[in-house]
Amino acid sequence: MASVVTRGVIVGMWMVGLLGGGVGDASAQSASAPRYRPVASGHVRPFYLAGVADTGVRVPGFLLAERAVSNADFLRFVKANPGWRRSRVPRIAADPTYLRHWESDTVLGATAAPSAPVVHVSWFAAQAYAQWSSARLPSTAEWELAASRFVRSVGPTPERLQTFLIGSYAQAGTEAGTEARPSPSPASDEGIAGLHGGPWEWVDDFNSVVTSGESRGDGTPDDGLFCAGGAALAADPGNFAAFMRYAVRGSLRGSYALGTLGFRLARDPSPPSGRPDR
Amino acid sequence: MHRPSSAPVVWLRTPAVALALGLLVVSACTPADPAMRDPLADRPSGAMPVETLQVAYAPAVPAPITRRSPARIVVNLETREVKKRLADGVEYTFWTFGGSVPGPMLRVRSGDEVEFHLNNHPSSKMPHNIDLHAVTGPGGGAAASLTAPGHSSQFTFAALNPGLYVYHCATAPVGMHIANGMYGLILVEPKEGLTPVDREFYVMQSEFYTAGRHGASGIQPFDMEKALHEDPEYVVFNGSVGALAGENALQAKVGETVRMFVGNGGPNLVSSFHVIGEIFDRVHTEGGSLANQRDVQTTLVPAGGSAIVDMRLDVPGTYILVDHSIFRAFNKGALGMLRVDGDANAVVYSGKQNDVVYLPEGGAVQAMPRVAAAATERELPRAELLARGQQVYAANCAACHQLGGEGTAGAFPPLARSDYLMADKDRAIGVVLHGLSGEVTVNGQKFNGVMPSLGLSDTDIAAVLSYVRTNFGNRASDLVSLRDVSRVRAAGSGGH
Repeated sequence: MASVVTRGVIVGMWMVGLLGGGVGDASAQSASAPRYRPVASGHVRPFYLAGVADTGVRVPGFLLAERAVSNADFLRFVKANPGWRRSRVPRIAADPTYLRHWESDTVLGATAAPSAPVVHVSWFAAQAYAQWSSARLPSTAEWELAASRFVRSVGPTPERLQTFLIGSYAQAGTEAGTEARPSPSPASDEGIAGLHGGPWEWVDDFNSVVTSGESRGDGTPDDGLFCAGGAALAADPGNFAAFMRYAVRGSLRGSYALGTLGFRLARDPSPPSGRPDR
Repeated sequence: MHRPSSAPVVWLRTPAVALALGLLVVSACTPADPAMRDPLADRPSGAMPVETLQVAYAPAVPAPITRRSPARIVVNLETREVKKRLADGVEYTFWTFGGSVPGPMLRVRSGDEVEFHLNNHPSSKMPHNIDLHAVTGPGGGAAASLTAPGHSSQFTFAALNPGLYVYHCATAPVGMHIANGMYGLILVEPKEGLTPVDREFYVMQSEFYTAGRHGASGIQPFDMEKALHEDPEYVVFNGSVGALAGENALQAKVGETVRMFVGNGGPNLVSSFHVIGEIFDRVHTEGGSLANQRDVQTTLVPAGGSAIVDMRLDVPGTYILVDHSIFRAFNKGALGMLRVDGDANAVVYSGKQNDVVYLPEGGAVQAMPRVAAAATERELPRAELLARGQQVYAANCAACHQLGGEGTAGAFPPLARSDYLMADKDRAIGVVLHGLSGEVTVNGQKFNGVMPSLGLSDTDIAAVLSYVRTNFGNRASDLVSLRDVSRVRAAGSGGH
């Protein structure tokens, strides 16, 4: 799958260049941009263990935004990069539902609260936004690591986290364009809010999940995540909450702009030299 | 069930159909085994007529297919996540096909080409797909239909094998997608059609694993532990407790033939499907195309499987549909009703003809039954009375009225906060003494069933009524005494 990821990134960067979305100057972005919180290094057990040691993969420490990118944040990006306006974005970079909950190209309107997480954004748009913000999308492993730390509010056992997550995910879907609102779930131990129960979030390597769509057959090496067969290779077939997240990622393509999907930014621990740490 | 009195009609009908089928088989194919016929043999070389499929929501069934040649059938099915009633006062976030549990019933003809569009509503939190057991091909369509929220997938399959098939969502975690309500039935009619009947119904069993115990009110989340242990709180027909009971009962008339397309969505339990007071005249075991069984009392419906049962209705009354793993019926909700109107048929069923005292000890005791009983009858002190009442309740009443007195929607009236119970103490004593039949209204809900006389001693009747009238939210200021019961007994059964 590595080749697919690479190809996606290359295409994404090409689009970013094409449509605008280079590194923004500091004045383009307001002081209300989210703060970054350090996520301590740790081990993540990948959902599919094939070829991975049982202890999992070590993820170095990194910085993750304390909240998802909001409508107001994304509006600033769109204003600064007209190529990413709803009326101008090419279909290959975002499907027809891109920003459909906004009133117009540059007006949020009644159905998109400025502080609510932005949804109806494609992976390509999220990549462009991240580049413009001198940041990046978190990897799947990074996102999963940050999203597993809820000892303070949920308790130490994985079973309790599981129950908490299934409860968070089980709420009926809402037309997120009109109702995307901050997650009711508590922040993680490291102070990162909205990881569960709000919109799903893009990760950099979303398409490294090899879902064939038939999750039971996903037990063979060439078929990652199929329905009951998916259980054959899963590290923990009882981890329904993870199954749900991976199924979502597996159903996506880079141009999809779902009403239940947003994103947040990540950074390496040391800010790139010569640039202010925003 | 048909009895000898109605046999001429049935015996005439059945050989006639068999003969007709035989002629069809002989004239339409060369291989002797019908299962080996090529279902696509009559597929036209040019374009087929295109039809948009009309679906039906349970308990309704799409009309039989009258077409005698293959067509291209366009199906549009939407997946949607909705909050709905699971039982009175209990809500659940269902994941559905078509907004309902079970999903709509689809009906196509063997040899048809089915163009399937799976549309996932934009408000869905989850991606969904569909595995139709009627599909020949990897995943039954699932591999071709994983669909993100706000997207639509298309695939096409040929309906090869006739039979009644389950469809369900197969997105990981598949157990949870099924447990949340994503299943339904697709009937692939044999080319020659099914034996005609007067009425057809769609009944699908499934179970729900809620965090709260059975009856716990409010919005109930899915409980993964209970699902893993296959220990559901609810086992229901057509998606909720009472979906086929009371006002929602299936309706038919004496003399009609009725067919039930019975499915089992699971996700875990196998159903022992039974209709109390009826015998299935014909059964397509496991939903196959052949009516391979006659005169069946209870038929197994596998999880992810089906059965077709036909019965002729000879006697009016209410017939109860149950999973005969009987605690599921009386304690978890697997209970439906078929109400049959028409004239009584005393030859087939007499109803109760007599009720006399039966005493195995013989005539000497029979002469003075009340004397022996009276020796143990006595007024109990309050604490003892209520403790005894609780035991009597658990042993005699809880199976129907439930341990918490909440009753069973559409079947057994509640005793908890019951206006009917509390309005008239003597009437309540009379009901326990003599039983009760006919329509009653309890807390605004109508019930029309039969409660038998339980043959309790007067002391036990005083105890159990004292218990229920001071528990389950009922606040009687006084207890029921032995003297009260004796007085009502003396007044006789016409007294209420």
